[in-house]
Amino acid sequence: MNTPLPPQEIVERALSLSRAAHCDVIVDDTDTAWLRWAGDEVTANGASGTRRVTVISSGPGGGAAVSGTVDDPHRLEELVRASEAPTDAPAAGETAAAGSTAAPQPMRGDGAFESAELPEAAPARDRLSALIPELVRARGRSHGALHGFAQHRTGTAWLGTTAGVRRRHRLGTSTLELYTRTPDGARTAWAGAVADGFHGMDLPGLEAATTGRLRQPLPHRELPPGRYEVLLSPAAVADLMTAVYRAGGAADATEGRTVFARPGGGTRIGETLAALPLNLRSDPREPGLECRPFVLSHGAVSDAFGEAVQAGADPADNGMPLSATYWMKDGALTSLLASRADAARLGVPVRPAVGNLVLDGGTDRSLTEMIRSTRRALLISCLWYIRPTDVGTLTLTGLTRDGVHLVEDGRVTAYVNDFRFAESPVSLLSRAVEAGRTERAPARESGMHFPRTAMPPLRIPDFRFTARAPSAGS
Amino acid sequence: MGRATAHESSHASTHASSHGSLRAISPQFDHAEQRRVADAVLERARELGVQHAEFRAEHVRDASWRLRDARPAGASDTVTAGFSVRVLHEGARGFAARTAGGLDAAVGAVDEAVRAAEDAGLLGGRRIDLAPEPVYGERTWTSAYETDPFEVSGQERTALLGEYSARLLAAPGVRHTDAALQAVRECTFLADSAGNRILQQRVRVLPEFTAHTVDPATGTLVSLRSTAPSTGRGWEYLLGTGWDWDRELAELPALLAEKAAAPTVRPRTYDLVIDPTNLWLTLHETVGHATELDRALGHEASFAGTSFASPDAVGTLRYGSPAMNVTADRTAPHGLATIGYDAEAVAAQCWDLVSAGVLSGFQVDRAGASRAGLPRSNGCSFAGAFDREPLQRMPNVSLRPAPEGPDTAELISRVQDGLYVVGDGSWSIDTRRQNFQFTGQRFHRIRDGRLVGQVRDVAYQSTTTDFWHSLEAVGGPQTYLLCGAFHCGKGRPLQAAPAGHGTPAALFRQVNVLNSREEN
Repeated sequence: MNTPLPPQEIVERALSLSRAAHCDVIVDDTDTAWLRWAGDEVTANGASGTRRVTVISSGPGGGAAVSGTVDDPHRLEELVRASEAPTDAPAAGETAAAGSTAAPQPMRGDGAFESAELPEAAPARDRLSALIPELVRARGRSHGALHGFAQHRTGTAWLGTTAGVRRRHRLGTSTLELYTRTPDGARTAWAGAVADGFHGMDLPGLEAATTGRLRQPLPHRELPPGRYEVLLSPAAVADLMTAVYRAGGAADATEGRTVFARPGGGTRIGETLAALPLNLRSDPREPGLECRPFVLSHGAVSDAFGEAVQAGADPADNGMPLSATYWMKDGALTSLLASRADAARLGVPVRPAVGNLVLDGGTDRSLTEMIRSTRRALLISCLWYIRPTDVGTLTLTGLTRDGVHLVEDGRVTAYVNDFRFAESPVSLLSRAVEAGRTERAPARESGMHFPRTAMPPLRIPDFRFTARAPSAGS
Repeated sequence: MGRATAHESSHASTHASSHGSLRAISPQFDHAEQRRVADAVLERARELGVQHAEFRAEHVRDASWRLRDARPAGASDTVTAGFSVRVLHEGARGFAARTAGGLDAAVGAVDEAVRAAEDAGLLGGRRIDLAPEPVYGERTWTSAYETDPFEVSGQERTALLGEYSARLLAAPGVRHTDAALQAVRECTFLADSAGNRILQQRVRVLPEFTAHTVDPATGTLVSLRSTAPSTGRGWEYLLGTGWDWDRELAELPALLAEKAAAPTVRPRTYDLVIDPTNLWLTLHETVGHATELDRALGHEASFAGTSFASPDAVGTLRYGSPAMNVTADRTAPHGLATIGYDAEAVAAQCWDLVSAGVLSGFQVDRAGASRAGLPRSNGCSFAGAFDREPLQRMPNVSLRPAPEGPDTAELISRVQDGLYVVGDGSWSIDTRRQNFQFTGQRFHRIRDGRLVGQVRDVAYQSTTTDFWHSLEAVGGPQTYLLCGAFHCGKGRPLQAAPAGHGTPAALFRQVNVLNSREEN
């Protein structure tokens, strides 16, 4: 049997084996436990402990990002050599654009990991098991109508490079989602929370937002598609703003590929996007949304679902400190995602991707208060199956789910059918007439990949629905 | 051109069997060591008195290469290797996965899986029972391919992708190109307490070439992607086995130029002739997912959704027109979901989902089959990775062609006023698998039975049963193409799985078409 090496030792051993001009080594240890249930059935229930080693080599003759779940120290050299296999690939940080500038020099460091202890992390299974008595009680109160998903994941990353960078980071992510539907399936409700640990989560609040909400007797109204004033919940806004963030690459905009391209060339940086003085920003030290404070790119070409990785993540920048970044300030586009190589080539500021997103700058009014001042609108709880139909305008289609309510004269008066929508979130920013208080809100769809978001509710006077869709159980 | 076929042997070797020559299991997968670990795991499971135990070891190599304007723009090569233990204990399931640690960790994983099952027991609820399945003992199965894509050198791979890109770049009007190739080799070893020891290996590739030109009116890029489907083949696919790359790359620039100059579509209803390169995705979303029993039972209600189709509607639900016949199978050569045995050691099967327009079946795993009162699972249990629990996943779900059916040109000739839709684009469908919207790569205007140029910005929108009831005719076998989804997402924690979908060209009447670029 092989005794697993400590992560720091894997980093140092792999770096010592490297023959490349530059080499990054990343060790990711992940401890995850999850529980999923649907009514009276447990549908997923397990735990995993995984270690992945990624080696990224670059230099003349090529190189690549190669990673593996290495449990045998003797196989470490295979991984390093595989990363050095000539592919005629550019050095990390070099872009393929003709006439590109030289790749930036790798980030430098003093060759030592910080001495401070990493934060304690109880086993994920223990954290989850401690939650089970509360979940049992919640299920009992719901009389079997409750569905849910609880997961805790602790990820610890260790980074070392041949240029002396040594960084490490531990991040805990607890996810709790509750969902319920009426016995006939016609009405559904969802609520979700993300934090580092379950202890700070408001389980009664999540219950009230799901089973409690469905206990309110409301008539059902069928409404036709068309343009409506809507109040978008923070969770719905989170999905839309995450789409904006993913489309925010400076290189793609410069090439005319995205909504942020200026017709005739260049980008739209400096243009006013939002009618309200809203800010779209990221900050690794944002209270409650803390995330990794340095660049850590594994050099992946795409994610597990074939989607392009987030722009502004380049292994050549690994170890670079991340700081607060405004993507939009007072309604104007201020930055697009750019690695150091992108920045050098395009003449834009360096703006690496950060693992959280905040939209703020609105009023201090809660969604409830916004409802009270509404004459007639549709209240949208969640959006789902959101896909781009036109990348040039970032027009998206998708559906409402888990609750569309009619608001009349300051009160929720009816439950309404679901709709398909066609909207660009960039256009919505320009048409929003009110933004409420920003609160932590994981997105219903994209939150599983990008959970650290804080958003306000938004009021849009003319949101476009293109078709009626059947509600969950109709 | 060599013909690759799937092979199976009933003994634990990779030598010739009566079925032909098995492809060698990758030496990177140390399945001999995994057998030793499996024996220890299953022994520990017996000691703990579990009802059923499964040990699954995987070695998956997954690599992607991208070129931009014919130059390398990124490469990643990932090996994911590890094992998992799943137990059925006192009517509840528990699961644990590890990448490392040897025998001690493996035995510890059994204890952890049992603890998880005990936690599930605290929640109470319905007990899990498994439908019976014969025990197959020692089996080895490999998929149908000629050349393992990982046996091709980096230079050879980059040179070919670069050459194909250069052909596109050399054409007038093409401003940029993107090339992408993803290749996967998946090795699994499954051992269970019933006595199965099943070793499997399969390969798949997803090549995509995209050409971009500038829209003279807006200055933004207009793009057109190749329509070659992802497939359960190896490197030979890139060289022309199973797809005519020379033809597609030669035609693509002119089609792109025509698209860039095309008028935007006027939204209204049109008759649609839909090419297999587009229809596969509509089939995937509207039939493939809608006939998953776990959805129908509400297991996915909180996330991926449910289904308008219910098990008690088998034999009565009029899903579509009589021209609609949909088959599920795990055996189609080169199908992305083709495999010898599923993650519960159930042998691959074929069955009907829709017969002459009527719902006739569902996809189930062993627990689902027991729950539905079926005598046996139809082999739809699959895990997206070693650290994911097997759940019910889609097989190859295919629309059958008409045996003496028309070719695509004849289908087009039947349309006075319509569109011929080619290539997949974006997709979106509601949680009950009813209201949907799909785009595509190209939309050719049909007038009086003939193609008369392209239009742009088409999205077709309907509901599942309306759409399939509007199916007037399916093409013959000469129009049939096996395509598929490389990354189909489902479950929490989310996992991806491949699924194959064959369809002929097909004619649909009076489908609602929207303009996807219409001003907001």
